[in-house]
Amino acid sequence: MPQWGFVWMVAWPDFRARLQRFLVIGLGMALVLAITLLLSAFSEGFRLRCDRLLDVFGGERYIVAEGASGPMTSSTPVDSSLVDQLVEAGFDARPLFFSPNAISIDGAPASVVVVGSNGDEPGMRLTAGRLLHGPGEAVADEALVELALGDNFVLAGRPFTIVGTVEHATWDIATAGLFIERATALEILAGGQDVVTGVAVDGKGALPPLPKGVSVQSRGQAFDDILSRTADAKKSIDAFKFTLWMLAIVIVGAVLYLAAIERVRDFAIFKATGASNVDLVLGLVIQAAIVGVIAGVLSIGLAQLMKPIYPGLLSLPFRIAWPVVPVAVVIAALSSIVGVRRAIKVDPSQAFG
Amino acid sequence: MSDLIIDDLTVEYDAGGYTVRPLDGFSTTVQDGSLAVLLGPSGCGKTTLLSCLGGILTPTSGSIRYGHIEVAGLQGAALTAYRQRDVGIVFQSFNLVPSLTAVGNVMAPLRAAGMSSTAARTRAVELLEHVGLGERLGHRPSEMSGGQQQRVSLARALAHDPPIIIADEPTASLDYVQVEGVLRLLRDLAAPGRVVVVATHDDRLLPLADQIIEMVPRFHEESSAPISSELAPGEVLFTQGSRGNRIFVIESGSIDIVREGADGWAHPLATLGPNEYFGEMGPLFGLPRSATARAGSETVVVGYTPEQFRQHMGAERLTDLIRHEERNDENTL
Ligand SMILES: Nc1ncnc2c1ncn2[C@@H]1O[C@H](COP(=O)(O)OP(=O)(O)O)[C@@H](O)[C@H]1O
Ligand SMILES: [Mg+2]
Repeated sequence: MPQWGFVWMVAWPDFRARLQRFLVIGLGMALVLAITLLLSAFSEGFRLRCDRLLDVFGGERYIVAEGASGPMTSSTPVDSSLVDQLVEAGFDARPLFFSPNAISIDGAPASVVVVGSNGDEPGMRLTAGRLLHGPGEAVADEALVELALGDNFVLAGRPFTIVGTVEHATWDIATAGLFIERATALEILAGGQDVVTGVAVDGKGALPPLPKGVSVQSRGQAFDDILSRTADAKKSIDAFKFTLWMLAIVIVGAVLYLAAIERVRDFAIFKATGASNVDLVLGLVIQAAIVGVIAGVLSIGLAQLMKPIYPGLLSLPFRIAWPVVPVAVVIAALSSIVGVRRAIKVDPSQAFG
Repeated sequence: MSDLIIDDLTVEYDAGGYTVRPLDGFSTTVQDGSLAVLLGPSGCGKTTLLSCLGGILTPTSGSIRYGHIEVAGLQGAALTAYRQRDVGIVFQSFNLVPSLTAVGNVMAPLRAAGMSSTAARTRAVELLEHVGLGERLGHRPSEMSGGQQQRVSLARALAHDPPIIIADEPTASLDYVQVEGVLRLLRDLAAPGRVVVVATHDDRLLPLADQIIEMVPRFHEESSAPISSELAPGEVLFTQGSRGNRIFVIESGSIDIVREGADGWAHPLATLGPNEYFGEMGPLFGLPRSATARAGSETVVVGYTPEQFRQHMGAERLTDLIRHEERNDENTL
């Protein structure tokens, strides 16, 4: 049975007496944790990006070719009569046409997702210029940094000029959507056939009977499909986060070990006057846990300060941030193990001499 | 109402490959209510004995009995309980916990034993007032004089009102004025129901003692083989005043024997060459080295324990050994 009152006497007065040292450990740990938070924010940015991409094109439900991965990622053509069929049935249905492709900018290639646009997609947000007005015009997502307003590029042998830029039409991590008129897109990329790669549908109620070869997806399914394309990136990020946690354990562990060595005499005295190992161990673990709480809270603040330095979409809502505090406490507690082992080994007879 | 009975106590340390045995079959009895002073030069095993009494060192063999408690056999929770309730230790260097105030230091053992915060504080304040530190309750060790720290240490030792109080050189770090208060407190503690054991080489404590236990230094080092050492020119083998248990025979090279005089000058006594031996007096008679031995050139010496040396020389040479002493006369080593 631990004597918690005594445990606190082991932990807190010493913590206060050596406050600076513990704060330095906490700050170092907070920096490492802040980086893990930024990585989490980056991961979370993927999700946000998926939502935003879906918002650009709208739709509560989608219809795609059977076997297609999802409305934003499929380029399997389906006959466009499907759209009319749905409109007749009283739904708000909009054709989607996406084609992952390469454009040439002054001879240099760039990967884009060509969007056969209906003019103004429901969630399209212009950041500069204007919407499409003619066949030789294009509107690019801001992720296409190589092109600015008025620049020219070549797609399938045809010249285009950028007349506007939009945001949030970004596929994967940084593949820009490039909007051209739907008719032009069909002409140069679908051999002139009137097809869609998906249909965005709004409206309540059961859908009319659909032709063979298509299937319905919910917005959730569409979301998961886009997100799954960043799964590898997320795995790397998670592995990197894990590495940083290990790094934190090693660094914090080393410093806590040194801090424990400084107290060898304290431990010998406590043991000689009848303290149990359990109480001393808990005292050290509590000191470490306090460091963990400080580091965790500090890291959230630091991450918020550091966020603007990083380009790209970082999202760090409280829901993502707070778990860093218990994680920090666990890391600190694990870090204290080496110091704890040292404390257990202290022979009370070291109090003499 | 118990006596403290120490019987045939032996402690061995492993000091880097060879065995040091500061206590070898040590026996004594401290009567209930008395203050015993352990007297002896440093290195004779006083601290070792007190560590055994305090339950913080397990002797190699032998027993320590107090009432029905066999201290040497305690383990685990029983040992922790013994440290908490039955024995109080006053250390030479005070050994207060620097982060705790005077009250905190006295409360710590009480809290470790599970006493409530309020009760522990009341008891700590009472004890600190008893040792005359009622005004210093909230001070940390760094803000107190040596005498004050030693009194806090004493109050801490008394926290559980233990029947055994041990103090290791309690006056060694104190000046004359501070000593008095500490001594009076220790003296008053030796009352029926309690024993007080104080280790010291401070003879100011002798008048206070009910019993004086004299301890003589012993050097018991066990090694399977003689030790051969190579010395660079000028390297010191041993210094005057140090203790050792080796008798040396020069294999090659030379050794200068030098006595450091009180005047600060080093007086050369002799220069010895191959096959000559030196350093026999210290080990044979338990005395400190009376001179310093330094290599004159690249030198190899072999160190023997007295027993090994006797074997090495042959029994008939034993008398030669003493004659060698007489021959060197003043220059005993
Ligand atoms: N932990 C230890 N390891 C090895 N040798 C020790 C240890 N503690 C004490 N000794 C040796 O035991 C002998 C007795 O030491 P000690 O009990 O401290 O004597 P005193 O307190 O009388 O000065 C000394 O020779 C010392 O070097
Ligand atoms: Mg000693």
